[in-house]
Amino acid sequence: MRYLLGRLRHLTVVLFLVTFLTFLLVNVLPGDIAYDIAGLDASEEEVQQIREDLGLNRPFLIRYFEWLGGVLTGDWGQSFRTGEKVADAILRAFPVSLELVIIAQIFAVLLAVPFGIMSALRPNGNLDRVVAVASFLCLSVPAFLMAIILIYVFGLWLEWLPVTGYERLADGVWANLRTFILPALSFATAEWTVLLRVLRADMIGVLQEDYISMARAKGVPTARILWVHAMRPSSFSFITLLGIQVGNLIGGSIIIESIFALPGVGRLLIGAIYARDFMVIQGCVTFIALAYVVINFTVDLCYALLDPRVRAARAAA
Amino acid sequence: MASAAENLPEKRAVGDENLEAQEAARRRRRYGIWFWLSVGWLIVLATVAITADILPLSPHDEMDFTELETAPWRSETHPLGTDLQGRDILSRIIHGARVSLVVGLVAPSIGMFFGLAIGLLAGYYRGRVESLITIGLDTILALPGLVVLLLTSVVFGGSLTVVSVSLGLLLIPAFARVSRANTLNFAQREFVVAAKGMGARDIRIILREVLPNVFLPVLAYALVVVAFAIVVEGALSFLGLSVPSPTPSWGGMIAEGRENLAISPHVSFIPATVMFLTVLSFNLVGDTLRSRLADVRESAV
Repeated sequence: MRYLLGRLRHLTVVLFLVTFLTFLLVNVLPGDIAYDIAGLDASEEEVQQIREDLGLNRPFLIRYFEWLGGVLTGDWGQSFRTGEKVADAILRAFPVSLELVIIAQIFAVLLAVPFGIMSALRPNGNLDRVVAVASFLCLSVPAFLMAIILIYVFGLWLEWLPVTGYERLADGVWANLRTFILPALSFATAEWTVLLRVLRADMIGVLQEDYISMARAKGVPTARILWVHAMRPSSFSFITLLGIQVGNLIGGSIIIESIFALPGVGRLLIGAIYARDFMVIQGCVTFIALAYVVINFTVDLCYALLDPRVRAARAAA
Repeated sequence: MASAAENLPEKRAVGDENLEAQEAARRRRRYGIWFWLSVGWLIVLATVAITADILPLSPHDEMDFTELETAPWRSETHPLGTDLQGRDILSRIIHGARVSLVVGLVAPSIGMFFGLAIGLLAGYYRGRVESLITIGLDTILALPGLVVLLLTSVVFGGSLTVVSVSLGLLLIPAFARVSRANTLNFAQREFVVAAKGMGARDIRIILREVLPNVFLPVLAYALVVVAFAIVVEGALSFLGLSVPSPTPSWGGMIAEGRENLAISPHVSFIPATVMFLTVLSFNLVGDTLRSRLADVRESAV
């Protein structure tokens, strides 16, 4: 418990620093927002007036704490471009990114688990070597490259899947899922290698334990041994890694969302960066950092809860 | 009986066994063909990138309107074909290699230089120093890296220097972690305790006892980071936020080829293949060196 409170404190400090650094960086952006809003032939006084209205003339720290206060009460500011509230924009974009991340992880797990188990059954066997080579190759292909390859193969050459665009769930479940397949695969082809490595290593260790030999001696069929007895202890690192990857992807989806024109947080952010819309930038980065921190903390929490050894160690202490 | 006699081991001189053992050890120590192929590719790439200006290539920014979007190996003056604006792909790839290799080598160097130092301090001194350092590192890690790079590109303008420096700064926590893990390992060993007992000052211990041991694993890790840096630079130039337009870059070429992907895929796929082979080579070499250099005890960390 004390460990978790310590982590919480640590993560809160990190969160504050992140928002402060972002505010700093965003406010160094050249190109005064006021000029952009006023338009090309506005007079000096109009620009100054706009600066006054937006409060851009006040000292930096005051603006930071005001913004922070707003965030804590739910007011994340307004977009300079569209006038939409930042909080609304993020809430609109987040489910899209979340769906992308979840589907990507599902694909990664579907690839990693069977191959991981089979590799662990016969380490350094033929299958293991082939899988190792395949995973090394997949690891060396960056996500955006994989996206281009997938677009070419499945979108343009075979014409099986749509290349860009997004359909809302309301317009049909399959139509919605179709638009996520290629983007999710672009992520999954790199993610599954990491999951595989961890699962294989853990499972090889577990399969050498005495209780597994005992089960085999009793005549328990291999499939049952794998699923019932070996899977759970092997999955700790796997699950924590899964959680961490989800946290990382929320921020990493920028390029993929741009390529496939998915209206998620990443695309919102990059549009704001190009347009110098610093309220949206600030809001998005804060949100991404928040998601990262929350997910990491949840992973720590789950790890402490799930692993009986950790619980026992602390109970004994 | 006959079968028993056949089962006796052949008589061998002692010297032969020795030779066989040496042979076996040499075979284990060899690096394998894929390793050397990767090294070869990287050497070729580096050489070609450095000598790009004196090579007999078509100029990379000359637009040849008579041969737009030529496929590879169909033209005499353009061995790898041309892109959508008639520019020679081969020379663009070679000039793009300069960009990628510069970023790929400078950024991890910056990260390694500072990360090594910070990790050494954190791992050696522990306590409050370590807590403060860890908070700082976690902050940088919590920042979405690509976002920071995009912001700095927009704020300070895209250029080789900006990208290399900002990426280098973002890589510091990764190096610091590896450095700290290795330092923790070595700082408790007997030779450090002995040095302390002899009255050596901390700085001397760190530099002469701990650093030489920590440096090699961190260097091996650095090679994998180089691959990562090349990928990141590719992503940035794909978004148009790395070096500005006239200078070719692999990511930029891939992005440009997207327009006519169905008709002329080679415009995207040739730079894509080159990037893939380069990243693969760095990964292979780095991974092999890392597993060679790793101490068995370190896998516990």
